[in-house]
Amino acid sequence: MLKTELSDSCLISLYKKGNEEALSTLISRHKSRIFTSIYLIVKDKFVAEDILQDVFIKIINIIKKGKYNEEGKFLPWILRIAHNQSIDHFRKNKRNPKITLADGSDIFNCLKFSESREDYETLSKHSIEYIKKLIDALPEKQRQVLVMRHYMKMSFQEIAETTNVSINTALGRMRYALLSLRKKIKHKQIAYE
Amino acid sequence: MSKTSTNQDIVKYVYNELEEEKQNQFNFKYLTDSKIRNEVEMISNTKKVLDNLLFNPSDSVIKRIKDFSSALNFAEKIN
Repeated sequence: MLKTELSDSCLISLYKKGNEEALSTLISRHKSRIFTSIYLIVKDKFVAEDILQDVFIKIINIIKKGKYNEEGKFLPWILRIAHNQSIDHFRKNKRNPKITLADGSDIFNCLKFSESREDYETLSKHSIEYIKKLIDALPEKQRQVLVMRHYMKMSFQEIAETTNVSINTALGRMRYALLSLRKKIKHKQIAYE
Repeated sequence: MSKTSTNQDIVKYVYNELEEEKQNQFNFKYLTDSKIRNEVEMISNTKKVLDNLLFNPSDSVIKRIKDFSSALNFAEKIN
């Protein structure tokens, strides 16, 4: 893998010329953010992986055909493709949502929240799964704004335009989502203690 | 500044999107209004949790993507 800090644009140029390492570096650099954005929308890890694969195959084809023209904006571009494919999947499955059950363990026994604020930086695996469940339980529109702003790094104005709502509505949804998560996290902390 | 407007500004503030001209007014409110301070704190803490919430795809899906690309590259070279 290329260890240098080459920009995404440089890596894409190298990849166009047949350098596979450039693609590996791009994947390694962005896979977590792209995958998390998809996973939080579709909720199922295996579906999220399928979508991730489709997204990369799509962008590989676009780049190889010389149709990529968003220099310097690779991540927002691929995140939008990922988002569109996730939403398409979500809409198709909305009437018959697939419920993925955990391993059966009691979430309350697994909770391991940090006591100090600094420890937010080292969330345990169980806490990560628990917080994902809380995000999954948010109303769809709130979850969408949260993913678009927090993981896709879209501005509130861009989110408003993409979702056809006013910026105030987008901000309101984000606020409710964040406060709702906060309350649930805090509540479970107290319950566990 | 209305309550709704302040609530929206809190979200913008935490996500660094608050307009420059509103910054001073908001800073003043932040220093003088404990409710605003509390909400900024709550939202900031939740944001920190989300910052650390990242998932990784399996190695096998990454391998499939790379294999697809290699095959495409190979096909390009022989054509």
